[in-house]
Amino acid sequence: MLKVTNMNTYYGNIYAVKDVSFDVSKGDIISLIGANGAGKSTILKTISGLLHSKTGSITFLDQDISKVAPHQVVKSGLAHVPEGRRVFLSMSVQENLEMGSYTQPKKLMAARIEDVYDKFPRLKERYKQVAGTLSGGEQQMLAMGRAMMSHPALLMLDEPSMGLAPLLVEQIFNIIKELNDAGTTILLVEQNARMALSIANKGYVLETGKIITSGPGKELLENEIVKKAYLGG
Amino acid sequence: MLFLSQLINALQLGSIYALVALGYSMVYSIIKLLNFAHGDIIMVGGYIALFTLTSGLHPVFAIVFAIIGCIALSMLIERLAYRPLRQAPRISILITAIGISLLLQNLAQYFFSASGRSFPSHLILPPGAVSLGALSISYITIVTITVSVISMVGLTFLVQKTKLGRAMRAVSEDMEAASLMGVNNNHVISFTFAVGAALAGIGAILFATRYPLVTPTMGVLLGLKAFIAAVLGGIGSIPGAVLGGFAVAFAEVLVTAIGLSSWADGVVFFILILVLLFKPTGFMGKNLMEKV
Amino acid sequence: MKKKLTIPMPIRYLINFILVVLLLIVGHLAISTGVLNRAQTSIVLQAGIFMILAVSLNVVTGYLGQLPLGHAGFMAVGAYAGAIFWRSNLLSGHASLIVGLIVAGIAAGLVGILIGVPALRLRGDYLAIITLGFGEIIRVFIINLPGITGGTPGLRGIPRYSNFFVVYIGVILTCTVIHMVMKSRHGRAILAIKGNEIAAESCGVSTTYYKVLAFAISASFAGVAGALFAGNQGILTPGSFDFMASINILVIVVLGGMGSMLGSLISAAVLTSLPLILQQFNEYRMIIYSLMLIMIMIFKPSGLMGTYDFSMSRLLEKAYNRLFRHTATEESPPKLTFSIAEKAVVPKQTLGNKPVLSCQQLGIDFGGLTAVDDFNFTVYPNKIAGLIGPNGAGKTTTFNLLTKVYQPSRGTIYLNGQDTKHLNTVKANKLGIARTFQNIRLFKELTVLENVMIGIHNEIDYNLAESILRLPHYWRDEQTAKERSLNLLSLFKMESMANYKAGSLPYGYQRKLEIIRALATNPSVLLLDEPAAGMNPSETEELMAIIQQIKKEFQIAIVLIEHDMQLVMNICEDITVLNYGRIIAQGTPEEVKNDPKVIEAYLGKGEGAHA
Repeated sequence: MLKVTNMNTYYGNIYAVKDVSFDVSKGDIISLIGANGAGKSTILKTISGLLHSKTGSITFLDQDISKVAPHQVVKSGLAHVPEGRRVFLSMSVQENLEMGSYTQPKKLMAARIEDVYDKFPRLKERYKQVAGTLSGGEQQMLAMGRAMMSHPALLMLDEPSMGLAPLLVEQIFNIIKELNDAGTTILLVEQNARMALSIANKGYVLETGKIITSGPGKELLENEIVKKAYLGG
Repeated sequence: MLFLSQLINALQLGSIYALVALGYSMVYSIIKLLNFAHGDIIMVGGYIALFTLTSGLHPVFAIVFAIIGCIALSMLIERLAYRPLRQAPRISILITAIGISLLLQNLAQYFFSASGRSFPSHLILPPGAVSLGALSISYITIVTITVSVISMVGLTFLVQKTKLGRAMRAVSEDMEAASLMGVNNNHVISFTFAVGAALAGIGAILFATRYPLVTPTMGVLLGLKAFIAAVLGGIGSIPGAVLGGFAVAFAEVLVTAIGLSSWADGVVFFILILVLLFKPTGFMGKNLMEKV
Repeated sequence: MKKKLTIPMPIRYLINFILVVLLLIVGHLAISTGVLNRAQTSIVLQAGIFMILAVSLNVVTGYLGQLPLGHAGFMAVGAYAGAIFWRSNLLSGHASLIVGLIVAGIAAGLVGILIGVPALRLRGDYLAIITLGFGEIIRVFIINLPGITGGTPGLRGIPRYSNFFVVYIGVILTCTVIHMVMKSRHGRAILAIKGNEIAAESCGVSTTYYKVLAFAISASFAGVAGALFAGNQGILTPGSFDFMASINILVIVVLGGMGSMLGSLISAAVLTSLPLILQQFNEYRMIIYSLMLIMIMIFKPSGLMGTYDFSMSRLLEKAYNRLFRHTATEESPPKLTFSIAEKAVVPKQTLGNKPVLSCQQLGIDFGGLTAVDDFNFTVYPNKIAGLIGPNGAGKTTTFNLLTKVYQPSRGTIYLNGQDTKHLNTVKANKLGIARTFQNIRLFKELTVLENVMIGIHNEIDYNLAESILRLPHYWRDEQTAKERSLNLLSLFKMESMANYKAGSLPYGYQRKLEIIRALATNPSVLLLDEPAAGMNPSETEELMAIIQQIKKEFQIAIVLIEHDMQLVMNICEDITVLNYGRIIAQGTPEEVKNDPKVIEAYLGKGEGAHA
């Protein structure tokens, strides 16, 4: 479904992603793990068009999207929940969701909003509330719900567990699994390597912009290097 | 009665300030730029209207051309001068705006001479007034206030209720996130400049009809006052801009009425300073606290 | 291994002095021999005056990072103050000239303080607008007080004191004084405020004081420039000091490159002489000027010189090293002259086993919302305490209360036995509380060493005059500060990075540096806000070791907010759990881990169990 070949991206002056290639098949959960600054977020940003790779290609559903602007990428069925959630803080929960269906036909909107509210009842309770007053966990739910509004074939999540309490982390990962069961392909970037690998079909480990190892999630959990560096013994 | 007619006078002036202030406010809230060239767009609108009228075309064309001219010029400036600087330090784009302002003024001076030309306002609206007992209100006053009110209601509807308006708010808050929703930031920003410029075009006609003299620097003071109005009301807020416009106009008219016209500018700035000190985001501005 | 040439400070000053004298002689000869005609000489004087204006404005824009739009107002105050003094004929000759300039500087400086105190409460564009307002008000006063200022027609008959020599000395003095201030603890404080205000306060730098100081310095020199302007023109009209005049000065600074003194100087020279060069295109001179302005901003947004600054000595060093020492080696880090334990730790008076920090019934409301309530908490020296809880539970808010970033609505905080009720962040820091931030707040543009030295700001105390005159106190304190900073850095094995820009460090080192900077303020309580956020397990392990090392070496109390349960449970001796702003559990790691309320609200079953 998504094929990344020879991605080389600069973030400002920093050579952040070095010759990265991987692919994602329909129905997968793929996890990219690695330390802060390893280039994980940059990979997602390059895929969604916020940054551009110097070389190589990114094909999504048989289209080359490597030179496409971000607002066009969304239309092709690829949604990106950015790091730090980035919900529109001054807008209400409902308006945030409406923004999520910006590229979609208007007649589908109401039904999809109901779908999101079914999945996240907490959001329904607060539909009129301004997003800035939500807690971190609720904002993460809103960010995911907002991305679901465009019915993406592939959903990219950047550190959904960042700064959340252990209890909420578990909830968020359960929701990711549910979304995947319902047919959404997931590309996940995480610091929380244990959680990310435990739900992934395949994981990639990044270090200073390069993929150093990859394999099925369960195998990586047993991998000695990964254990030592990312799982804490 | 004198007081009442002064009040109406202030309402009219305030309406024009408000229209212009909205242009500052909208542009600021979307790209955080104090668009110094906005006042000079009004000047250009004034000249377009003037030349259309003196060429003998129907006054409707003068209004239409002025508005279209302002929109086109404003979008062009955004495209050529501001867009390349979107990632640059804020001050660079501010200086560019100042540069554009100087450029427009000096081009006008070069081509149309520094001295002003009188504006045939009778072609836009015949002079005359409606009498209400001892009070008489001129047509232009009535038209100005009406047009302003309609523009502001329309603008509020656009920003609050339409999809495009929602996109404008999204872009003003977080450009990157908005683009991930599928919003084309460039289009939304261009559109915002266009709306601000259209209001400036309307403001140009109303201003020139009321004070029938068009000069290369006519936008400077008007722009500065409107800018103060926008800040006073809370930049980014539509009702704020209106409130600010009226506040500035009332202060000016009042100080002039009691015979201290040379202090008028000082008083306006003094009010601005007081308001900012006690409510740093203006009357209607949102108070955003820095997160620690 | 050959050593790189480094010219010592006194010789650097000598080189600069020789340079200054040479330029003065050249200028003087050019004018006295008629190489420069009258019109050209007048341009040179103008340029000099604008140099002072630009360099002084740069203090607030380039160094302090604010954007004032009313610089011409200060220039006006100085111009009229100087002119009125000179016209009064209280003194004559040189005495009159000098006293007049001083009067101008003081008058403008005072007005600067008067305006700065309220204006600097605002930031960014709002500060720009409010200074614009003040500038215009000054002008309105000048117009409306004809008895004193001559009003709109102008003030005439001002003695023409401003010759080449006077203006030249003015420029040199301005540059020297501002340079000396900027390369001192005072200048570092100003740069720190530009980098991050909240972090600066938490390091004990009084932002209000230094902002007003920068503003006052900037205004005084603008005032001197104003007086020189008056002495050059012979007549003053309010029109010379309008909003456009302020803009012109700002344009000079931005074009030159904000933060670069040399940039300001060159840009002032070029822009002032431009009208002369463009004289034959008089009709479209201003069109060319504005087009140029736009083009430079579009193609070189950081200005002509960026933040580059010129140093003759550095140039000589480079040339010498290139010519004679081909094998330029890496600069080795300066030698440590003290043993670490001896100098890095300045022991606070020990309070024995009394609590260093204790709060009772602490609470704060925002609007109608209660963010923290009934918070009771005590820490003892040489202990590590943890503060955990779900997002939005009020943990960081509690840190903000303890450091007085927020003033509590209720309750008391005692720090080292003293009530902090009436203290602000700066004073709380001086009393012994330091912190790090959830989202790292380093002074990114400054070096690693400078970051730590800002932590030492209050341990060294030479005053402004001592730094301008480079008295022995300055040298002694700077030396001490540098050594202590290097010692602290070496304690955490970061001394080799001393000269790197803090912003260029890898993430993990940035977190570490923030801790070191906090330690430099010599606290008895250290608050760490999510120190392990964004670290992988191996980095986290190293962090744990560092925290324990700090406890051991410095014998201080440490309080940390963390989501990493492994870290919290391993190193904290005492844990407090917050939920919805209230304490739901308090105790040892074992007690807290098994508390059903904590499991319910925070830990959950899975993650809590294996952490």
